[in-house]
Amino acid sequence: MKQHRMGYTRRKQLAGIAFITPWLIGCVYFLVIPLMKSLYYSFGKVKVVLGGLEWTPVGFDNYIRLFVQDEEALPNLVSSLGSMAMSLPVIVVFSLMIAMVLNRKFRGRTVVRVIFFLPVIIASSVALGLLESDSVSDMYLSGSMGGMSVQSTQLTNLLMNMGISEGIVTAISGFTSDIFSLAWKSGIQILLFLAGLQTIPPQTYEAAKIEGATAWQSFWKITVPQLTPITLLILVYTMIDSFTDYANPYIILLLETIRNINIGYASALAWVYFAVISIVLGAVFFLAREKKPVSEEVRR
Amino acid sequence: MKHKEKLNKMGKSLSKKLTGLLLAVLVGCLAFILLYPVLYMVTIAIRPSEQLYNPASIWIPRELTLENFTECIDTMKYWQSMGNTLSICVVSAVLSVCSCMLAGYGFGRCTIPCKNVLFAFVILSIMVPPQVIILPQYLQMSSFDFFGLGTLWGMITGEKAAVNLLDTNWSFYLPAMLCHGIRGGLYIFIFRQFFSGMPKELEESAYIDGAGSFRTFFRVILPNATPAMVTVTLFSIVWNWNDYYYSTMFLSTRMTVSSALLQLKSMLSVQYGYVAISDPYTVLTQVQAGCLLLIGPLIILFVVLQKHFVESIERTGLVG
Repeated sequence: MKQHRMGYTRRKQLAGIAFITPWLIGCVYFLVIPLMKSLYYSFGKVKVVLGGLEWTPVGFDNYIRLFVQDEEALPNLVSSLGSMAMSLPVIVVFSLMIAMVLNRKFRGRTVVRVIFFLPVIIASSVALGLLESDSVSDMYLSGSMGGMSVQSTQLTNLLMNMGISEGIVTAISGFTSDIFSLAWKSGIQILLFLAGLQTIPPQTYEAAKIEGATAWQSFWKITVPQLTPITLLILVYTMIDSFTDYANPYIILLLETIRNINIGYASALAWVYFAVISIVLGAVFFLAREKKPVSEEVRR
Repeated sequence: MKHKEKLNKMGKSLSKKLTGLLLAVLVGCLAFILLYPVLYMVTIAIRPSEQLYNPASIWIPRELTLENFTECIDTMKYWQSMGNTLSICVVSAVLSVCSCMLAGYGFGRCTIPCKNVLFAFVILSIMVPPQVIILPQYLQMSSFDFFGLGTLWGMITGEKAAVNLLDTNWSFYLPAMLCHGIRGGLYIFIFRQFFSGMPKELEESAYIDGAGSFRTFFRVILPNATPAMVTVTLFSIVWNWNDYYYSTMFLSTRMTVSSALLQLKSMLSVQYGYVAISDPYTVLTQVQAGCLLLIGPLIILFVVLQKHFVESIERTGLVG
């Protein structure tokens, strides 16, 4: 009997390994080896020569330069972390709200969903760069399109003319431009939440309604727990996204260094970034694990 | 008594209507914000370039023309680039979805030794900006040695077996097949989270019936994973379609629609001579037409696929 059980677990383990084998091969070949190479580059000075690279060891010089000499690197890293912490909860709550609205049945839903999908298409596209570098578009968007934020000057003027004090006006126009960039940044999150909401069977809500649960109760007792895995996904994705965003000062510095073909120093920058974001993500996973016995069960 | 009840009911339906109205206004405003750039592209792209400065017509131009589009299609070699893009994009997306779904199931549902450590590498693959590892990857692609087997072969026979994958579609298919296509790690993560949210009873009953892991996966899990599959397919197609970094890196002789659009401005400048460089507005209408030609097919695709988001509601009846 025990023998049989052992065989069963082992067989299940083998099946699990079989499922991830393609990924494992790809991971070693397309991720680990290139990353190890970049770690190796970070301890040297790299020159691109005909037919390959030339590497001369410099020890920890690149890292010393990063932490001691470079006046941009560390402040940029801190400000990136700060803006991530600020935007994370807002994006998650906002995209959940929008996804729940879009999940309802209403007329014209198809059109609205297509519109909310636009950021996913445009944000990763060449078209965005062309739009931003387009000076005529300023005239139309009555403000700057830079970083996808519209300063609604018309609104500001209108409010000022109505005699509302300047402080309040700035707050309102700041809010509208925030909403704009928020809607642009949440496209993927909205879609993921929407797909997550789809997996909750409507019967659950019906049953809860019959039992006399209010909408508020069924949100907290059904929607939130059912969406836990997706929320973790969205948290992690949003963090990584705001970190790898091309508007992020640290990434700008990193890409600039790569463009100047300063490969050794760029690799050091990249590795410090990996270390920091790994610590942050590690903390998120740790917290998520502590609080949710459900995921504990699944991991078993 | 009855009267009171009626009033109560009326109040309830009124507040429901009010919430509905409020939501409609909110969604309408946001939708307008999101639609703005596209509206801008359309209004610029359908006017002749002389009309760009006409202050009398901001949104609706006086003259309409499709010339910008036809010219753009010629310059970008649109249909040819489209063929290249489609062949890369569709095959890579299918390969990515299949491989990542298997891996996602493995991570979400199976017992694997050191699973958490391995999964950390999935997260790592999402984190790494492509620019950081493109150099080693480029070198790997330029002489692909069949995962070291070619080098091993070289040690035995003295002649290293390697092929150049650059400028072929294989430089996209191969990573996609092994879950490391564009944003592959994210797809694994999406599938893992979806699978781990499914009730355990689903598999258990299949196991009790004597089905093996693979049969359970194909018969029980797969039919319930439609929302996740549609989502990932959509993302994968969009990101492969929009990718210009890898396609300008790996393909030197062929163009995708994205890389063609990236070069459109300079190609048009060549066509128009140097006038265009001193006056960037000359080519503006064509550039916006090009943008529409790039995002148009994706919008159509989403319109077609989004039905499956709705349909899957009815299908999940099995769960529970």
